[in-house]
Amino acid sequence: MTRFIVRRMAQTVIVLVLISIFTFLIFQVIPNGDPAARLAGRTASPDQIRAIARSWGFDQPIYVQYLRTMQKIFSGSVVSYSQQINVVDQIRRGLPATVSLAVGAGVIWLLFGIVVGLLSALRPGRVLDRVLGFLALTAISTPAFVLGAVLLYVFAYRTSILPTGEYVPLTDDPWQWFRHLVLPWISLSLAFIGFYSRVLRGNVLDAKHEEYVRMARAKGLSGRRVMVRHVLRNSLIPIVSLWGLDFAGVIGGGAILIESIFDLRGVGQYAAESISTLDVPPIMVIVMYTGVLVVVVAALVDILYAYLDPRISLNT
Amino acid sequence: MSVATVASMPPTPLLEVEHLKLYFPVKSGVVLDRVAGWVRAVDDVSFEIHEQETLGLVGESGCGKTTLARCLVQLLDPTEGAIRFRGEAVGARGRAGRRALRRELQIVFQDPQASLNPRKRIGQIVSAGLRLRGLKGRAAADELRRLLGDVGLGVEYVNRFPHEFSGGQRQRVGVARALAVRPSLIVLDEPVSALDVSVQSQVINLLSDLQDEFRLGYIFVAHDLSVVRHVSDRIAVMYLGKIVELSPGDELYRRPIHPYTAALLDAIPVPDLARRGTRAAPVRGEPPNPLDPPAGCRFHPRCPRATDVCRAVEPQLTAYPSGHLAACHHPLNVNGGELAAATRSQLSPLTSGSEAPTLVA
Amino acid sequence: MSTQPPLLEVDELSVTFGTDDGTVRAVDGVSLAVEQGEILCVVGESGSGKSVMTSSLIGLTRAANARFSGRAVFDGVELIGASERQLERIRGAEIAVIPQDPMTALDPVQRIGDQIAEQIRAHNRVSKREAFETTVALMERVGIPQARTRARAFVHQFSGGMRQRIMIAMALSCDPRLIIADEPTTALDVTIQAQILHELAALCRQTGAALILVTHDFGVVAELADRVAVMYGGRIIEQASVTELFGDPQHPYTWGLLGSVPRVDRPRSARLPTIGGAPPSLVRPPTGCHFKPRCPHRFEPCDDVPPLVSRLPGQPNHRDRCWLDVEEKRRLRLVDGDIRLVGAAT
Repeated sequence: MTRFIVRRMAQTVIVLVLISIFTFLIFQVIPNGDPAARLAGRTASPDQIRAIARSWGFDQPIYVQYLRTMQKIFSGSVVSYSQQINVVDQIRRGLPATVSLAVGAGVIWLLFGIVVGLLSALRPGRVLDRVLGFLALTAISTPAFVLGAVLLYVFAYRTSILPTGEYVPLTDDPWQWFRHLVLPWISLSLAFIGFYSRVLRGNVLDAKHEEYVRMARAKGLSGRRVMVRHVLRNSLIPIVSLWGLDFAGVIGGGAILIESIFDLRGVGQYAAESISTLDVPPIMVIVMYTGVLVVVVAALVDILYAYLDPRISLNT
Repeated sequence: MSVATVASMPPTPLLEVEHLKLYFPVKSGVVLDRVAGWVRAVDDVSFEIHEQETLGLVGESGCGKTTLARCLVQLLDPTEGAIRFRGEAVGARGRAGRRALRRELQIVFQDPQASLNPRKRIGQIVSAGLRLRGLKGRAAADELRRLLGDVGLGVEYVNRFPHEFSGGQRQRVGVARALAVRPSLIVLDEPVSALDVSVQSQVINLLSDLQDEFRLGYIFVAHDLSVVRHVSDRIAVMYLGKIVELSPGDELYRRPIHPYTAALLDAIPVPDLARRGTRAAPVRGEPPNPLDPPAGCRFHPRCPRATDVCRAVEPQLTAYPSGHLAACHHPLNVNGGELAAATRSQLSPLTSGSEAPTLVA
Repeated sequence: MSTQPPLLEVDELSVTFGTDDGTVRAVDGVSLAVEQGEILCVVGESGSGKSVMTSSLIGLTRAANARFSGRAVFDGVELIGASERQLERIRGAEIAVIPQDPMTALDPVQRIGDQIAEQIRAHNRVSKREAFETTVALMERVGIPQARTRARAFVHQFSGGMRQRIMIAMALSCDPRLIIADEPTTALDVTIQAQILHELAALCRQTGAALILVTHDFGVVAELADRVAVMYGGRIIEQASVTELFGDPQHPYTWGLLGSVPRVDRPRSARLPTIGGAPPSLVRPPTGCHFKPRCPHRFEPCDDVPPLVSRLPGQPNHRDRCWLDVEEKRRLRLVDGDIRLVGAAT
């Protein structure tokens, strides 16, 4: 176990370094990426641009800029190019929305994915299975932002059942918090539900044909007992690791489009804005924050998987 | 099936194996992979096989016979030791040399379903070897038809896929594939274990017919002594990575010398009512862990005849007068005269002691 | 012979199911009886229907669309067509199963102790603790060392022989009247096979359970069987006590099987006797006797299906499906004192 943890920590560090370098370099090579020019405004003279470049350190060699940026990130004093605000503070302000979105959606898509998957697997090939399969395919194929936009239009603009956007903190007003998150949750979850239901359906159908399931029936266990204790347990284990990684992605600010459409002002939306203004420091920080989250969650998922499936050893 | 005697064997063996070892590392450690131990799959094995001879290689699971078989056809690299083909070391050859060697040494696998590519027709599977021989077009098609006929498959099967055949037929395809390159030696890795009894005997008969026609040598790996009996000129019995007995022809069955061989023979259920209930208690216990084999003679924890020397000293491979070798301190079925005339064989493992065997009642 | 009624009586059992190639008649009118405490060996090769037949007895055929006709009465209860609830009560408690491959027959993510205990608790109202104690006792009885600790282990942590012992412990857990073992030692090493078979037979004798042992190995039959049924092409083609079968085998297929076993107790022969050809297609089986195409002794009457009857005056329970005259059979089957199927292609 210690070996596993040390390994994963080493992995995390390497991943962080690599993605920070990579992200930094990307923004160096993008056309119109000169931050000094953008900071100076459209009518600035070359001299003004150069002065800004010097004050921000943009005239230094790349690796020096990189190291200085990293230094600022780790001392928590990173300031974004465009808004002169501390990046870390900004991220912290966006976290509650992102976390609410992620946790809510994660729970919804896990539960419904399992339920739909099971319903499909109970009578494979029959009407319910086909209908659910078709719906799943539709859900997977529909881009989440299209869905979000449509839902917004129907439920918030044409009618006023639900609010048109923004985030209300849980601590301020739980009911409004909930109302504001319903549509984002649905938009984000639907594709995952479709996908997870198909995966679970496949696992259950495979498990039903395994010899140990047949043997369990030969022992005289009732069909339901066999289903729950043997089929489901084996089928759900791969879902665990899937969910962990998807969840990590969302909570890391991966739901950029959903957050933007619903104006939740979470980490993802912050990332979207920073990208459109080519504002490097926030992007770097968000990318690294997501990186840490994904690696940590992946490690936790592996541990959980090894606990659930004794054939898997952490040393492989 | 040629029944070669010791006297008539030609000088240069087809294949020589000398103190061959295959150890697989077991890794452990926190950040860097450190080797914590070795699985000694094959642990100092030596033997030779001559042209057109059949060597049976028998043992139970974990004895190393499959690992050894794969190493002989260059599917695995030895950890230590030498393999020589027609006098020339296998390891010393360059890439071209090793490719040429693959045409001489072929293998037929145990599972006829898993060893044939399910997406290829059997004509394609067998023809691959013909192309290596440089045959094309008409000549290749004729040779293909002949080969399939030799293994008892009609030419109408050429375009079928493996899943359309029975287990016995698939195994015939595997044999045809091996024959296509005209090898000198075919390693048969449990070729009939997955087949029904009546099909087993069909395939065994086929193999002995082919041996005469194509002048083949065989190394016939099996877990069952009854199966190798009818094809083998000599039989080697393996236990936990070592050869414990190597016997000419049928002698192994008439007088097994090593207690493990005797136990193996005794364990075979015989379809004879008169023998019902007469079998001695089967050998007790389970084969030990190849990561941590017992000291001395590896069989001693399960051997009813084990003494102190067995627990401490690894027995040498003793050569008895009839050309029958056995690695045991207290051999069975050997009389005083034979014991006196016995010598230490060159094939003995390097770590074995030099205590001469003694007779025990 | 016991005066009690047979524990299991199968009467004209047939099992068919549809495949892409057509309807397969896997079991074709099988009738047999198993007495209390008896060991019956069912012998056959692939495609003989032996596994489908035994699976049908507990309603667990692998084919989803299997159709059944005929009867199988176990201790007064009709098994064919019984409700799932009735079958669940019988499975594991009255009729237990030992499968061929213990590795795949055990749930890989559950401890084996739990898997044995779950069978006990499915049929008995006992607490978890009691079930666990029974489990440990069972494991000790079948020779698993350090049973208490090993009960918490998983299937991949055991060797092949130990896994099969676990299956035996499971089978015995609810004191069944009948055990069905489908080639229980095929996947094991020869020395372990011998151990397991010995122990299984001894346990059956001790508990009084009857055993249906499906095998392809006549050596196993000679060692353990009280009675034997030989299956070919979905039918029983010979049925006898073990002494009758080895002493006076009646069917050419039996001769072929007996002859093609490579022997270690007889002098070596140049060529192994075998049965030429291949097992029949179960979709389009031959008309009349299923063995006809491969039988060197076939003659005109073989176009009609021979009924399974006794043609031997002194052996009323020795039945076979062969039209040949009894004296003719005795002449044809012997070659140099050995029973063989002569004249078969090799």
